[in-house]
Amino acid sequence: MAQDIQDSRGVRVVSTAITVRRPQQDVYEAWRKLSELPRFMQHVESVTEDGEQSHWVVNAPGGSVEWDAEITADIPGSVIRWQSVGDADVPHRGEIRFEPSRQGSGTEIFVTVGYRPPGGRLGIGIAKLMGQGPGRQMDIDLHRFKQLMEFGSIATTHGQPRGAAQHEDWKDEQQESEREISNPHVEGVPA
Amino acid sequence: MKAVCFSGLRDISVETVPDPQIILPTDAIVRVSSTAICGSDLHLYNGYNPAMKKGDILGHEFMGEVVDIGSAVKKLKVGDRVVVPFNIACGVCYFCEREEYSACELSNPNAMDAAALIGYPAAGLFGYSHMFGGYAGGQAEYVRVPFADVGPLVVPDGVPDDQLLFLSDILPTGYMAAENCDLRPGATVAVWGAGPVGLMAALSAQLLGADRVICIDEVPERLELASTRCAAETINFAECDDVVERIKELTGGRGPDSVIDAVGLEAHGTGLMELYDRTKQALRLQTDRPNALREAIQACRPGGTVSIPGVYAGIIDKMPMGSAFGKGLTFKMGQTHTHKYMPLLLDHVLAGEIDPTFIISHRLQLDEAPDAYRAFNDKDDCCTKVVLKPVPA
Repeated sequence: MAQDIQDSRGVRVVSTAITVRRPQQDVYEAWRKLSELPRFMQHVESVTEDGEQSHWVVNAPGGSVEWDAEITADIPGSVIRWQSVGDADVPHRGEIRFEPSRQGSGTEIFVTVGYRPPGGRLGIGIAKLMGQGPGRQMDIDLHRFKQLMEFGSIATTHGQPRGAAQHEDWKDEQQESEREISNPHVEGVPA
Repeated sequence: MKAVCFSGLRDISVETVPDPQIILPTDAIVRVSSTAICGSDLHLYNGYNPAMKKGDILGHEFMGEVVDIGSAVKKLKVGDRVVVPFNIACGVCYFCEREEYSACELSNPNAMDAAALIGYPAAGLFGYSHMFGGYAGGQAEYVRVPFADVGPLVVPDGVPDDQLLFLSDILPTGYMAAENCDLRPGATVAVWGAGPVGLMAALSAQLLGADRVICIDEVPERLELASTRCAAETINFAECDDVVERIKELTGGRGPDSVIDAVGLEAHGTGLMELYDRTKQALRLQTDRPNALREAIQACRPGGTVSIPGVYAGIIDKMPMGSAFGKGLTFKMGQTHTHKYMPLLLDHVLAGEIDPTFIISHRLQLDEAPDAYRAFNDKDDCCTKVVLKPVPA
């Protein structure tokens, strides 16, 4: 599970890892298509690519958060680095690294993100969005990515019956709007 | 449809809810013909799982007929008669490929909630709380079965439900517990808990070559079943000064070759340790009461194997680790890889080598679930196993 530390300059560094049973190049390519990331990133509404830069829109309680980012390093099959540019709400930079799995076939993915926690209402909104922290959200999104890559769809119970007493005290939004999410690239599992 | 819903601590209701629909193309819908209440449902009933929500549909032991399939389902057909394993597995991940289905990495949409609550991203289970995926369970007229080409086992017509239903959980669970004992011909096995899993483990141990099986419990009718239906020797711990010493007496002072804890986190016992465990559990200082496990470890012979099918959920206390270390015991445990064992055990059932129907004490309608849970929990009315029949539409 994700680690979350704060360095001496007040920058939070979150890191985590997951193994996905798909070739390194496939996994890299799935991440490199930035506009497709919202398929598994729960709170990312859209990513629009424009040359070297991309524009991110993220749903947060009380409105959306937006920023621009640029890719600072791109080694096909092995690493992507990026950072926010301009006047971002949450200035951050990150790295995703792909290595062959040491436990049989597949790819080990390592993600590290450094950011300055925002204050004020925005900070509260983002904190709520991230639940128990951005590391946890990162783990959830990576697990969703893994499901999409390995099986072709993301497991869900959204739309199943339940008794009248159902309280909304569990995070149901976690499973919202994902019944149509599937990966046409996985062989044998039609979308 | 009617469904058995969790409504709070020791509160079960039968409600009318919408029929389940195909959600993903790999789903099937099964019309339930028989469903059972499992001992592990009682852990939910007694409030040991913090990720239960009021209104959750219970049940993970069920069988029935396939009435609808998603567009990507290839092996299963509408009309197939199936038994469905209690744990949900994707069939393609690292662990499924190794036949370690209960560690499936893809079947639980809330795996990260499980990781936060219990420290690992557990697989999905039917009707067993949101940390195990929040899947609606099978104590209902219909149930949605995800990964339909992976779990459901097609079974032949002409064999009664009662003989097949327990392929969904307790028979494979008992069998894997016995297999985990690494039995050699002539071995002696002691089994704590003569409930359904313990009895299935006792039968399986004999099937796998054990010479002697000793069952430990306090419920007379369960010990009677162990004795008459599983050819086991029995110890009633309530009538016994020291269970560990009694077992050693029965095994020439050395202890059984293997021991099975088919009790788990809600063990009953006697004496100071029982009081200690209940107090700590009530104060939330420990989550589980490991009385049976402690005795099993103390009784096992040096070099023996401790097999644990009984469910543990969290932290336990006062483990005789020195005894385990000193005797060089091997521990094997865990959630059953049900899918792996179902075909083999179906063969045993069809060949007449295993007939688990003797454990059924109550056959009731689905509507009677609230009473059934109460009776099973309180072990009233000689209740060892309840099978519920959904009322025909």
